[in-house]
Amino acid sequence: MSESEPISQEKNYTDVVDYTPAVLKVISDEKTLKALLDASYEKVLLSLRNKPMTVQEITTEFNKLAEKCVVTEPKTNKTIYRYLKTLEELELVTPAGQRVMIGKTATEKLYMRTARIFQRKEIDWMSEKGEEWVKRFTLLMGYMIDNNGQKPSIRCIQEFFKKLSEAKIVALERLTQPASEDIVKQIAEGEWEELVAFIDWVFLFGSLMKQPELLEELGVCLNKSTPGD
Amino acid sequence: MTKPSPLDQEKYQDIIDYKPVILKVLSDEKTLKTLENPNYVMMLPILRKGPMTVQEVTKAFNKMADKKRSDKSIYRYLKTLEELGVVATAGQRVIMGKTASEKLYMRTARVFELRYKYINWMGEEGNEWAERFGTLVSHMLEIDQVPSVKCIQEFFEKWNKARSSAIEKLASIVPDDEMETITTCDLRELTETFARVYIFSTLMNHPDLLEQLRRCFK
Repeated sequence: MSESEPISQEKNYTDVVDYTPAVLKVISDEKTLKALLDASYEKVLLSLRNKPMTVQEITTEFNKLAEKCVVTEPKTNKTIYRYLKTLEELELVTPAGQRVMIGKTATEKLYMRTARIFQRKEIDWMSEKGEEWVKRFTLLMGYMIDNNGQKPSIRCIQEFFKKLSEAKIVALERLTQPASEDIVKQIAEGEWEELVAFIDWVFLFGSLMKQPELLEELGVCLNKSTPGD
Repeated sequence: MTKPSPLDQEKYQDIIDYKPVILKVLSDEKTLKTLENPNYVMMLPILRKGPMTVQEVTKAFNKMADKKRSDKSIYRYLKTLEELGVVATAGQRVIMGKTASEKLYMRTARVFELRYKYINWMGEEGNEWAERFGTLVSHMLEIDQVPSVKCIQEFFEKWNKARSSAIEKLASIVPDDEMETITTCDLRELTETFARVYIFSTLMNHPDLLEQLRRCFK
């Protein structure tokens, strides 16, 4: 599929784009997650949030963003190119086409994100790691709620978190349907971490309101005493 | 001939003139970045045992780490963390019979809350987030009508208050030894565990809060 945009009067180039990014990509690979948390890679992805861009354009946008934050120094095209290569290997960014300069034979490569929203995959709650996590959670919860001195069931709490993340996946999948386009537009912009935090709040409260029995289940797992008991 | 006594049997007295706070929020980008480096993060569980000299920290560090570090490197880590307000010079160790005393280091707080990602729901800046929240949750609940920004913000104002008191309660209630068993070198993971405890304990202790939010979507 090839799509070229009409040549506008101000522009002396045409972008030929042959890639359509996915709406959503769930990331579980450690290496990729690390890249998403890196201040530099994050800024490259943020620069690319709206449209396909050339290395030069990404560099300009990157340095504009870097100016706002102390930890990232301005970078050269060469460095940005290196970042793009790494992000391409991690399948977060992809070459998306060519920019054709009117009257020139040489074209420039365009880059795009592979998805509009990157979401972090939750840990497998039923695994050993999930169990360890739930144990820590339960220990701390013991200090926070009145459970009549009863021992909570770890397995039961693992199930609760599993159900909660399943509810999240169902909701995320609905977002990838064409009818949700307007909604996706609203959430595809913004810094990755902020967006992940925001989406977490949406799915948490959304799921709990949609399935009120979930929170009750957690209460049962924790042997929480109801007020007035 | 008298045998020299090993260092750790020397008589000493610690003079402490610093009191750490119970909870400290770390949100500064430079601090968060530094704490992603395992060398720096290791200082925190080590210093949970109380005020320590550089040598003591080095010893504890080298027992845990694969790669040994010198006192000099450890000193550098502590110095950086001190500049970032995570570690403080807490006093002096006076060794009997010696004129030179040793500096003692301490954590500035019992619990650090790392705010990697913080959404401001309130005020004008928060308007947009609150609006997006309303739209998305309506979509999830399959409701056509989008709630008012004001209703969402009122909920988050109450929510944040309840959550803050949960954070304070947890930081002051968990005993030191328990804290030690759950402290890992993965601060992000620990922060997430704590975050979930704040969320779910708040939800369970204040059932009226979720009810308030539900009313926004009707």
